[in-house]
Amino acid sequence: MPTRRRLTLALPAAFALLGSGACIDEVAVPAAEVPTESALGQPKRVVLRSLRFEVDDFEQAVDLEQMRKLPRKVLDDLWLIDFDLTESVTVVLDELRALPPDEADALSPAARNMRRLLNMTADNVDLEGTKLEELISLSAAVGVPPARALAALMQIGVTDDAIPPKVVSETFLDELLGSHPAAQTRKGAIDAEHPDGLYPIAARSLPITLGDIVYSFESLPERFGPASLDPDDPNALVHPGFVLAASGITEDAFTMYVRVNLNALPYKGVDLTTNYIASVNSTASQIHEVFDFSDPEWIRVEGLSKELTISEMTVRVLEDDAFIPGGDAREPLPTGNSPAWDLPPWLFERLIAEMARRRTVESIGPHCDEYKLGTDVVAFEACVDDTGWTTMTTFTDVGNPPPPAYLWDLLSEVAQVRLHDGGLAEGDADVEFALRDIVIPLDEPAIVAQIKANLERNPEALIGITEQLNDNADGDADFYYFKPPPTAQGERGDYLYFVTEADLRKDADGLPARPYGYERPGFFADPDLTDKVSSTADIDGDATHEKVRVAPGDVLYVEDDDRRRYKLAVLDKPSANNIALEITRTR
Amino acid sequence: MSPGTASAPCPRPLPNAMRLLSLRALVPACALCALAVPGSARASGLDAPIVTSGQSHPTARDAAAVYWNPANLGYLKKGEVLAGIGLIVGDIRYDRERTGTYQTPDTLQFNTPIDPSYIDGMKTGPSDQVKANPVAPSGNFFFAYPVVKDRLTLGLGVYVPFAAALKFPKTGAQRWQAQQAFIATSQIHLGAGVRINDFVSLGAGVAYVLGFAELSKLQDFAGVQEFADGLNTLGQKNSFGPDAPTEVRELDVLSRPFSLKKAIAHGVTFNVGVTVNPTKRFNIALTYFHSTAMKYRGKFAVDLNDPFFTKDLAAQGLQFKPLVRGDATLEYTLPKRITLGLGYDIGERWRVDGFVQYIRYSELDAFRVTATSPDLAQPALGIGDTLAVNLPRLWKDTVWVEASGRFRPTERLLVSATLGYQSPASPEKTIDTASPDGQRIIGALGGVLDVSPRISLLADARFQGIAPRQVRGSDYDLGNGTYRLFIAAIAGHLRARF
Repeated sequence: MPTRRRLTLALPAAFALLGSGACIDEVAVPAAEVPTESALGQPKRVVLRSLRFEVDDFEQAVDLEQMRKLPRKVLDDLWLIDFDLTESVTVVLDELRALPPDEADALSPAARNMRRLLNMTADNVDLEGTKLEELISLSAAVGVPPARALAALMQIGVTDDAIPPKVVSETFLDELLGSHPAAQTRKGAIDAEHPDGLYPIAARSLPITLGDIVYSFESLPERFGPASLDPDDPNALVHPGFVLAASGITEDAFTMYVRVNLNALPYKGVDLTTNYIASVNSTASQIHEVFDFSDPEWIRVEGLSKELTISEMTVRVLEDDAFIPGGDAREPLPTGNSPAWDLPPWLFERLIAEMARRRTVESIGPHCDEYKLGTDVVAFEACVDDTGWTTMTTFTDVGNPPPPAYLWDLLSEVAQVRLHDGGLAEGDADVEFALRDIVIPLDEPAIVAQIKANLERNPEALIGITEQLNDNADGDADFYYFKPPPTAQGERGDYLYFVTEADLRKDADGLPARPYGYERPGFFADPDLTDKVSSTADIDGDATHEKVRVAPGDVLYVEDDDRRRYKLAVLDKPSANNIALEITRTR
Repeated sequence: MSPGTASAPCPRPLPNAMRLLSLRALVPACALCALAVPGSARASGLDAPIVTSGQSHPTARDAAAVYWNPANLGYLKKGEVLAGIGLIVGDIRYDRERTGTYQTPDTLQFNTPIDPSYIDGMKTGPSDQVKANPVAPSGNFFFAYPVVKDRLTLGLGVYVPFAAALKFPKTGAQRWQAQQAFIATSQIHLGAGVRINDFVSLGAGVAYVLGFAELSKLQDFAGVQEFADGLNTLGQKNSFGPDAPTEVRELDVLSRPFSLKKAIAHGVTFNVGVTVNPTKRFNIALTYFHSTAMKYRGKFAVDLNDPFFTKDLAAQGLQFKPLVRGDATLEYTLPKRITLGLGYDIGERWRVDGFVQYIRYSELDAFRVTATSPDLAQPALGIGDTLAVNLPRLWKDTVWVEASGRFRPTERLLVSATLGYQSPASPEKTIDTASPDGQRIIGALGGVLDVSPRISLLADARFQGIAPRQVRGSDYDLGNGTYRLFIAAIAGHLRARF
């Protein structure tokens, strides 16, 4: 101490020394207790409190930077909307079809194949090598170009698209996207209508999660990459996936605001291993009361650009290694017997067959086209009935007609064969198209309304993010103290709740920090744990925890996740919202 | 020999016995509650500095005139040393009677109106009485020497005008106002008196003021504006802050042990005086003591070792260290005062004297307290590293009146008796246990034994007390209840003239 300071203190200090009790006590806090394993037979007293810090309309703002600090699982689990891709894919296919030849030459072979498929018309298709090959000679015999005969069969002009982009896109989305497990269901809350916690995804739609926005869709190739149709069956078919790469653009200003009403404090419990007073995040148990859906501002979004852009998403469709012939029989109805229908829906041959079938069913009605010789004699007739079954009949000696078949079988075969023009081997005619700058228009009010509606139906989706924003778990409690608020209806009193899996502390990745390893969760009346006194009876809306009401003098027995057993003696209450326990390890 | 004449080496009247236990001195220390509930630090309202022996007063001609009235130094014909020690004991009792409505203390509802289910119906009415029995020593030393005979005398005084120690129960009902406190204020005073003639003398002095304060209490964060602002930052409408209603006060989790230690203040002040003697027997004194700006600098510590403060709300930006330490300052101004003293010798054996002092305590409207520590900062809540609090005091000007009769039964012995009154400075709104205050009645007995023509021994016993003061109008129910105060002081002095 400097001399000056000493002198300054000297006089008053002298008075202090002269007076009894002159100096006041220092404020001090005990050193933090280092958790140590509780020893057998040594009781320890702990006090647990039930303190509620009820925040109302507490707006939690989460910007992109903060979101990136949240566990990825939390973000990926927060589904926002199903975005219908039909229009986007159709536009892309239209553009691909219209690409100038010099630019098309720069495309990958698979993309060129796709473009070739889209540009197929009756006028430019070569029927040679297909079942319709006979149509060439028949047409010649009657003086009609084969293209015209084929166009008539399809009820289009000779230069019209054989398969319009819209049909292509819808088929891709229904079959290729729709058959992928990730596009069929998404995870959600378990309820009566969804006992497995799986929710259907809207047709032709991409489920967009908060993780997609935060991480610019980088997980699309993983989510829509190869996936088993039945993960539990090693022999199950594996969808090859269809997204090779994806990236997106999200405005940096993107911020989501969520208003919550909750008790922001954790429940206080005990880690029996060390008698450490641990904290259990209380968010999940309150999730149904956390959001005031009657408040139009309960969730809002700022910085959302008018459109969200997936800068690139490449879709590739694989071709089967074998040539898949068209069918030649009506049965089985309604598609016929082409082996294409037995293929997985993601293979090119199956897709092209489906495109042709849709083209037939949706646009081609039953009709017959007659072709006459110069003598006005009908030389042959091509008829398509209302099921798409196509028959061609010759009435003179003009040649052999193609065998009867469904029109889609004939058309898909043409497409298959023509894709291999130029020497492509079977299996090499994969098709591919890249969706670039897929613009997902974001009408902010509309999308926020949709997000709200989705989340109102499934507030549990926000458990993860809310827990993270209100991350107050500490330690690994085996049980905790709960006292219903005095404003609650129903049972009052002091309860001990045995933790459930949902109560486990989460690690930095949002995953449980420890396994739920309890063999005998709950509270028992006897040391052998044969007489359970706890139940999952509904207390203040909770029907998932093993719980028991306690009063001073009660004695309970519990087992932790290390199979150690403990005796809990309930002591006199220190105050209205506190309980005291004496904990003794017995085994 | 007249017992009261200025020139005689006879005993002086006893204007103020050592009155060391000036509880007003506690007020500034308690104001450091600043961090705490504004308004929790209350003035005693009794300020009559105990400076000298009971034989010293505004018309007395002794070395202690450097404090009471430096003009009287001019009448000293010889050098004089006056030194003494004293001991003060007190009995201070408080029966708190809550008139407000409180929620159950182990809950945490922070916005009114509070749901009735959270109201603690038992927390109302009388609480157990708390008491403190402070014991405080004191001492003083005065020296005067005529440097120009019959014209100019210089004086020096070292004295302790305020000293008090309180120890209330740590768990008593007063714990939000004060648990323990210690205050001592000393002054080193230089003065000079100039005798113009037998009828008029003038004097002046300058004093260095050194203050020392320590305090502990429970800090109620419900009354802290910064805490209220922090919750507002989180969008949580709350009733906290200096005007917090009783419904949100005195909650267990927000009541944190707080201490101020080693708080030192330095100040400078001055006084002037004039004495007029219309006759040889009749003395009139008029003095003015200037105000003193005090700024205590010390160390504070606050126990925030509760999960609520240390980890449960960390995700929302509230995370203190379990024990926060830092620097604290307390600023206030000791008020100026003006005193009119009268003395009259009735024959050779009797003298009567007295004074009226008017103290401008209304100048003291608030205490300004700041606490600084990097560990206080909670950026997410908009709380910086410094908390500044103004504590409204709203004190009133006070009057102190004393009258003494002095009798010399023998040539070597003088006895005196004093009666007095002090009005309270604290209004009902701001009183609390840190400074029990009321209409104070003072009584004192004194005696002087002249051992030799040069040496005298002085003895004093002084008592004061307030009639039980029942308070019902305390702001926020902080200080409602009944206050009782009794203080006894004894002092002994040695006076030597040369």
